[in-house]
Amino acid sequence: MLKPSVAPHLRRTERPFYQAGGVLLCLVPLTGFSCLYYGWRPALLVLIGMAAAMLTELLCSLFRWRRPAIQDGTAAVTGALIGSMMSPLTPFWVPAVGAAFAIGVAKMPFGGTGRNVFNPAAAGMAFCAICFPTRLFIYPDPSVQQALPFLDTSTVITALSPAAQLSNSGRSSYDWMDLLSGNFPGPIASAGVIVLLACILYLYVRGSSSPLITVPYLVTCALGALWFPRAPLDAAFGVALELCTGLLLFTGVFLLCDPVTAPRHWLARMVYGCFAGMLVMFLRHYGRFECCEFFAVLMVNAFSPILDRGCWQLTKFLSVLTAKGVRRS
Amino acid sequence: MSRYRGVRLAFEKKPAILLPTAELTDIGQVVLPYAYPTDAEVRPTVSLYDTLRPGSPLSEVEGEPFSVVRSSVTGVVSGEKEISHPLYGELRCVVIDCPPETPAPEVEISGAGADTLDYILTAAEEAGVIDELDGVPLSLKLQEWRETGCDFVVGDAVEVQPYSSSAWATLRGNAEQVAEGVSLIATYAGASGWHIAACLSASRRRSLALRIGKKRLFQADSRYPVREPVNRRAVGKRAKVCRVGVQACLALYRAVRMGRAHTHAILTVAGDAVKQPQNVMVPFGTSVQEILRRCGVCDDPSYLILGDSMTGVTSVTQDIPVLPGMTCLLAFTAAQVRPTVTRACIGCGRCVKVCHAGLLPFEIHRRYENMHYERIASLAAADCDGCGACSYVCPCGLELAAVVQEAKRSGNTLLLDLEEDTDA
Repeated sequence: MLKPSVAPHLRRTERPFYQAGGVLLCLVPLTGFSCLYYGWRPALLVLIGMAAAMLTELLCSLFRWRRPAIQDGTAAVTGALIGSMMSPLTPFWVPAVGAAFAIGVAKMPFGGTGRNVFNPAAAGMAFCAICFPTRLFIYPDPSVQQALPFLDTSTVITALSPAAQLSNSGRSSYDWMDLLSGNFPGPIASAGVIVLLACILYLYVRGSSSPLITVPYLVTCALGALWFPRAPLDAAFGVALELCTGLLLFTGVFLLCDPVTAPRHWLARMVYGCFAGMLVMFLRHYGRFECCEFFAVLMVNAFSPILDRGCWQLTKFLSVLTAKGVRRS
Repeated sequence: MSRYRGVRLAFEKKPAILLPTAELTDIGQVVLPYAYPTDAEVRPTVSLYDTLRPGSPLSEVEGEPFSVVRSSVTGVVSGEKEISHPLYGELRCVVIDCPPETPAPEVEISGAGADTLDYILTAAEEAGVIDELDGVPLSLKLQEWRETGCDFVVGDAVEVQPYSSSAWATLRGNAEQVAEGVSLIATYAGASGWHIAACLSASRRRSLALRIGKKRLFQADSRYPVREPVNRRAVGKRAKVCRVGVQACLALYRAVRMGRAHTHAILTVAGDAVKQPQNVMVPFGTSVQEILRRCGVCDDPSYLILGDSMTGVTSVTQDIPVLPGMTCLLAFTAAQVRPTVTRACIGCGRCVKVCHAGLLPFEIHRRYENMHYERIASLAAADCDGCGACSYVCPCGLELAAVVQEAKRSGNTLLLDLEEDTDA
């Protein structure tokens, strides 16, 4: 029995899990790097975030009477990203609450995968940062080199993160070696700078991430750090310190390049990256929290559709002008 | 701003591209229209039990000699029937039975061998040459190019679509004739130059260059949709480039030099439901069912595609004739054609990246899905040429190309259509 069909009749095949699988694969070495310093606690935090996100998606799907789409991996990615942005000392219920908020408030009410306006992971982190700031921004001292206890963390020696040092006192007690080896306090996924750079390359090669967003974002942040330094440090080290600490690099790779909320047009992507970089540096200077990147992501997400249309119309207008010029000559 | 986009498609041309072109004989029966769709008055010139030779005209069309169809076989008229062809619509056809006897000599076009400029147009018209690229009679194109001017002619053998290899099959057997056909077109249109554009492997390119000359062969970009297959620096930025299919060039050569009508097509028969994928030369009017039977087709193909896999149209019946404009015949099983998963747009932006018209297909789709029809007009859907690259790369399996084409067809009237439907 012959059936009708619309062209094109062949498609490039790709498994639904392909995009999410790449991101999850990148989070494995990042979390593993943190486990080297703090034991298994960071891995457990990430897993709890994933489980909570998937459970929330399942419940929301059942509530909406829809077939659950957990197998596409997006809920797992959201949960894993939230877990990775936590401090290794965060109580276990915090990533669970953050993931539940991300899926239950920022994703599913908008229609689920592909329809959310704001990045769910950024929304979940923003919710946790506003509600539980004291649980989120306390970091263990990595130089102590001991596995963190799972439950009672009151005896753990804590230290100020480089980002907090810069915003509080305008000085830093870390050097180049500390930055490269990840020997500084910070969120789970922020310490492995070299691993993070390798993840950037891997995601670019795989096509899951866009250099058109990340590169302008990092360049803008670097210029912001160079022109408006927060500490009287050597210029190169000051810039490196701003880029490598906190969630700045992680945001550039995992949050800003989220395909659902980022613009699709090439020029819009570049403007989006620059805009995000400016917001991050502004919030770092004048914001309340030492890690403020997710707030910047939420703000630029709101402009994503406008950037897409505006930049598309601009390029269309310029191409028409160019074509007219060719015809006239 | 003029960065060219496009997508590299899967190759999938083997084994058809490697095998010699097979000629199907003893067809049994052909079904040919009296004329291609026209508003002019059509007067059949054949009647029941008339014996026809290849090249015998089937009708007279008032004022439009290019619409005349000629018999492609030796046979006897056995009846008439109305068919609905996916490419040409409703057609009134003549059925010709072809007994398995020695074929009669072809009817020669008057004045064959003449080398005057006007005879090129007459031959194209008399022979009923139709350009396989768009199904338009070549004589119409020649007239237009002559009137509006043409700076460069390209014999288009670029077929980057998966499975299609009929242009290569035409070139492999008749490269010199095709080259002369392009040269005739360039002469008539007053073009300053011509070449044959193809997208070939190094070895095929070398062998072809030896036959038609290195300068006459242009290696085109392998991205789909095909970028203009000329070197703009050499031809000139404002030069008007005209493209014509290689089968039409071959038919024009045969019409001018040998006085033969355009009666055969070279088709690629392929797809996962075909047992022996190959290029075949068949007379126009041959039933698709007969071709598939000769090439071997599995019991239950789900999709039959007339044309290439990117822009071809599906047919729900095998009982249709091969007519000019068809270069590919694909039979697929359900597993090959439809994506197994269709989900909401994940915003990967690949459709924007590959769209050579510079559109935002995802945005048009989103507005269509959300019924914001009045906002679609500002997204320049009219610039879409229906290449289908956006749907091809979409990892979510969305019908982007179909929606953009729908928006293009409807213009600003989608909302009005909906209101009319509701009223009805």
